[in-house]
Amino acid sequence: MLRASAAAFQRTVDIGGLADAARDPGLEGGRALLAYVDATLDRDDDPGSARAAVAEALGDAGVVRAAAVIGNFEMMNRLADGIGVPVGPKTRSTERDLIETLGLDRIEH
Amino acid sequence: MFAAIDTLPGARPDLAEAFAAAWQLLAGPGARWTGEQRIALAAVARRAWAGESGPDTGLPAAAVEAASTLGGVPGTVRRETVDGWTGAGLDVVAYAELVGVVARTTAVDSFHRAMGLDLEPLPEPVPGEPGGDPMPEGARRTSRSHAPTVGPPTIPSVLSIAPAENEGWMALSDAMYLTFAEMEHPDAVKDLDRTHIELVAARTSLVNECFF
Repeated sequence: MLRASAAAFQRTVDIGGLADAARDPGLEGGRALLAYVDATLDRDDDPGSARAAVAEALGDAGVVRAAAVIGNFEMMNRLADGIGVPVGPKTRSTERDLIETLGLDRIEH
Repeated sequence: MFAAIDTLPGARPDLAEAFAAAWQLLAGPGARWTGEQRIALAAVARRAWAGESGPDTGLPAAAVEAASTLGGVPGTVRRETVDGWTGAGLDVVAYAELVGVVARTTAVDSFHRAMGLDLEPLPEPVPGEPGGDPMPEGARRTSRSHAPTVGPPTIPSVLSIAPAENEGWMALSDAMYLTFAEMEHPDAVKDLDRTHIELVAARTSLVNECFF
């Protein structure tokens, strides 16, 4: 969906930036968003400065939405992992380059 | 309840409403667990996210282990893991209900952590006995899923053997992410544009080692 959305907005996003902090995803505020996710999900980190960086780049409503999306996918991941929503062979085939870029082969759900 | 959310600059009113509805659902009896037990499961998951054990709940050991694992390290759950819990006596509908309780609690808590807010106290339980709802007709477990679903194991059907839980996560997701109608539009804008939203979603799933 990330790539489809980037295409809809006529952008080019470096998917590798999702897994490699040294690579810029090429999206305004993108690095700030990735750092915000990481700081929120790291129980030993304080997301305060990362949150401020997102607010500066994308505004207050952008911060709240980003926080809500993090929470939502914390939920979705637990649903998928808990019940076992398998990645189908069609998705594995069509998303082969994404799977290889992000090292997702080891992930079943 | 959730009064702090309405004071956040840029927060839509439906967010606090959705969180309040999630807490209301959590507090009441479900298909297999009482309200008190559901809140105990949520407390276990909340502590596990923070890397802590406890509290002492009086719940069956398999349920505590399931709530703790799903709360803290969900990416480690495999089919064999779930088989171990159900083999130890955890009813599979009770397990699906537990998954819903843990997942929604974590959603609300993670939002609060992200925004630098204190975690909302878990609600007071609503008295009452579990409904004892039967397994829905046609539910089955496929060779690659961990628990039965009605129809193929996809996200929309993920908790279909515990329908109230399935409706619960969908309502929360409508407010926190996108409605199913909004998801149809790759050029959607909801405070952030869809590319930013999907960047956050993808990174969250990657950190959690989940393909979804």
